[in-house]
Amino acid sequence: MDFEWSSEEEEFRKQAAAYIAEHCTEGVIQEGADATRYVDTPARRRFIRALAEAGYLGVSWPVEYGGKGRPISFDYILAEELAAAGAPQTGKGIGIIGHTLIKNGSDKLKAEFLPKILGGEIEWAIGYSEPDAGSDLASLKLRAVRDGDGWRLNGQKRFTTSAHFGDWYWLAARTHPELPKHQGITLFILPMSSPGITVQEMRCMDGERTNEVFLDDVWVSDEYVVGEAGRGFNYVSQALDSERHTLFPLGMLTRMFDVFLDYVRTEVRDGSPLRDDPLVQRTVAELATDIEVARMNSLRVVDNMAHGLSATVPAAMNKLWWSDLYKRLTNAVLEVVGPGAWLRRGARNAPMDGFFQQLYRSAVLPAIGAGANEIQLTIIARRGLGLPNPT
Amino acid sequence: MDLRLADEQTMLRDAVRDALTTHSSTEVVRKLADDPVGYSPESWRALVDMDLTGLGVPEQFGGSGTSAIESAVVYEEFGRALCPSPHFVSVVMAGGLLVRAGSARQQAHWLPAIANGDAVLSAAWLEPGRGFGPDGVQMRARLDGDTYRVSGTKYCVPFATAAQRLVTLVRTGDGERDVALVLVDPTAAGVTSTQLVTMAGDPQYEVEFDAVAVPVADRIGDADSGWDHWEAALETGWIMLAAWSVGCAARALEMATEYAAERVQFDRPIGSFQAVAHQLAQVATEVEGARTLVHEAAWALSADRPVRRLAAMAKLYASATARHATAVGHQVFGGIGFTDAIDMYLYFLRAKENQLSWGDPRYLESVIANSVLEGGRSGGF
Repeated sequence: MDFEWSSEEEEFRKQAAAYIAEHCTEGVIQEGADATRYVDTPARRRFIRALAEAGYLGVSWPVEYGGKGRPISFDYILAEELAAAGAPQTGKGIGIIGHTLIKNGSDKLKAEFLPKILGGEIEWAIGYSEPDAGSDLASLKLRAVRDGDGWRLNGQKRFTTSAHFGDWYWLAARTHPELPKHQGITLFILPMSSPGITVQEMRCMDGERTNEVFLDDVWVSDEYVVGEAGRGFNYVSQALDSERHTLFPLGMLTRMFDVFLDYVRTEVRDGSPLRDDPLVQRTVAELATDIEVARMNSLRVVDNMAHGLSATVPAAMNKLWWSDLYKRLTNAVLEVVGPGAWLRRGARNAPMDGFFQQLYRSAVLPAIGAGANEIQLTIIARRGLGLPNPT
Repeated sequence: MDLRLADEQTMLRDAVRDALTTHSSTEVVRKLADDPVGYSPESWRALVDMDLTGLGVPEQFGGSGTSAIESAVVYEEFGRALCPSPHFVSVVMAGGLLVRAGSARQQAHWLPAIANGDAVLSAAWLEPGRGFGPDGVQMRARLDGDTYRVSGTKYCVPFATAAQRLVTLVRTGDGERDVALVLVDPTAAGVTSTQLVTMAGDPQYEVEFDAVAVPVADRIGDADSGWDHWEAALETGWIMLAAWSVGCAARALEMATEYAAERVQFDRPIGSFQAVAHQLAQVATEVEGARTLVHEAAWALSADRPVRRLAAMAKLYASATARHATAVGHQVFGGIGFTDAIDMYLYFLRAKENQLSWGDPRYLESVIANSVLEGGRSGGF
C-alpha cells in the first residue's frame, strides 16, 4: 500500500505545475465569480496551445497516435494541477472524444482529428441531451436518415454549452428507429458551421450560457460516422466511465475552500475571531474531512484504472460525493458568514466579494450533469451492491 | 501509488475473519452483553494464537513487529465481528504508551506479557462532568517522598476488573498539561470498582481512588509529559477505532443489502425500489470512502508522517459512516430489525458508542479545525 506518487509521477507533477504557473498569464486564470465558468477567450486558447507545445496534451494517449503512452495517473495529475492553479482543463477533445476516436474511429477520422486535438486547435461541442432525453439519454430522437453516401439530420439538441464557439460538433443521433433504443444510436462529427444548424442561447442561473441547437436537413457524409453506425450509445457510456474522474477535479473544491479558510482565519465578528466560534470550527472540520474523502474517492478511480480493474462504481461514487460536497460546501459557508452573505460580487462589503453567493448558484449543476446523481446511485446499487434493477 | 492491500495483508484479513466467525459469532457477542468481565477466555486465546495481541509491539518484546496497516486490517475485522475484547485498551493504548514512553524496566516487564496475552492492561482516563481534553483530567496525584497519593474518581474505565494494571491519567500541577500517567493495580488498597451499564453492553467501571499509594517508579514518562504521550497514543487509537467502524459499517451494509434483495413487498424485492436501493448506495459510497481514508491514515502512520489531523478525520468520518450505515440498516429491516431476532441492533448501538468514545465528534472537530486553520494546506496532512 502506498499513497504517494512514484518518482516519475512526482517529477511530472512538479514540471507540469511549474509550466502551468509560467503560462497562466493575464486572463487565463478565472478568478472570483468566473471561477466555475466555461469560457472561450483568446488567452485561454493560447494557454491550451502552450500546453500542446510542451506535450502536455494527450499524455495517456498511445505513442502511435502522438501521445506519450503514460499511465492514466498522469492525466489525473495534470487535471489536478490545472484545477489547483485555476487554469482551464485540457478539454473534451483530449478526453472523451480523443479516447473514443483512438478506440473506435476510422483511420481517416484519426488522421484528420487526432493531430489537431493534440495541437489544441479544435474546440468541440457535444450534442447528447435533448428536450425529451436527459437522464434517459438512450431515448434521444434527433433523426438521421440515409441520403446518398451519408445521412440527413433533423431535430433538436439542448445544453450544448460550447455550441456558440465550438468548431466541430460531436453528435448522437437516431439512425435505426426500428431497433431497441440503445442499439439505434450513431455518433457523428460535423462542423458547427454546417448549413442547417441554428444555435439559440439559453441563459443559466449562474450567469453561464448554454444553447439549444436546431438541425434542419444537415447532411453528414458516411466518412464522419464514428465507429459503427448503431453503436453510439456504447461509445458514449464507455467514454463517460473512463473520463468521469477528470471532470470533477479536487483542486476546484480546495481552491474554494482555501478562500473560506483565509476568511475564517482573519475575520472578526462582534469583537470575537470567527475561528474561535465552535460552529465555524465544526463547518471547517467537516468540510476539510469531506474534501479529504473526495481525494480518496478520486484516487480509487485512478488506482482501479491503473490496475486494469473496472472503474465504473468508484467513478460513480466519486461523482456523487464530489457534486454533493460542492453543494454542501457552498451552503455551509453561506450559513456561517453572517449578515451580507447574500451580497453579490461588486456590492460594497460583500463577504469574500460575493464568491460563495456565486458558487451557491453554480453548485446546483454538477449533481445534475454528466449523469444525474440518481443515475450514479442506481449504478452503485446495481453494479456495486448487486441489487435488482431499481425502478 | 497503490491502494491495494498486499497479498499477505489480504491473507491476514481472511484468516482473522475466519477465526472470528468461530470465536466471536454474534451469539457470543450477545452472551457477553453486560458481562462483568466482558470477553471470553477462548476468544482471547484465539487472538493470542494468531499473534494479534502482539500487533504494534516491537519484536524485541515478543510483538509481531508489523505496521499500522496490518493493525488497521485486523481492526476492520474486529468491527465486522463486533469482537468483544480488551485488545484496544490493552494492546493499542497501554501497549502503545509503554512502547512510546515506558522505562526499560516497565517495557521489559509489561510488553512481553501484553504481547503474549497473559497481561491485560486498561486505562483510567475520563472523569464525571469533565471533557476529553487535558482539562478533563482533574484527579490529583500528590507527591509524598517517592510515592504518589491518588484520590478521586474515574469512570467509563473499560475492563477494569480484568486488568492487571490501569494506566491512570492524574493531575500533577495547575498547568493545563501537568498530567502524568501512572500504573495502578486495581486490586490495591483504596481502589474500588463499580460496574456501569453501557449502550453497547461492554464492561465499564467507575473506579474510586482513596489515597491510593503509587510508587513514582510506576509513572510512565515524565511528570508533565503524560498528556503529550496520551495524545500521541490516541492518534494510533483513532485510526484503529476508525478501522473498526469501517468493518462495523461494512457488515451492517452487507446484512441490509442481503435482506433488501430477498425481502418481498408489493410483489418484488424491496431492494428494487429506488427509495431503498439509493440509501444503500449512499452508504456504500461512504463505506468505501471511509476505508480508503483509514488506509491513508494507517499508511501515513507506518511511514512516520505526522498523522494527528488525518487520524482525527478518519475517526470522525468512519464512525459517522458506521452510525449512518446502521441507521439505514434498521430502516431497511423495518419492524423485525427493532426486535432482537436480528443482529442489526448490536451494530447500531456499538457504532454509536464507538463514535462517542475516545474523542467524540465535537472534540475531533476542534482538533481538525485548529489543525486546518493553523496549517496552510487543506488536505489530510
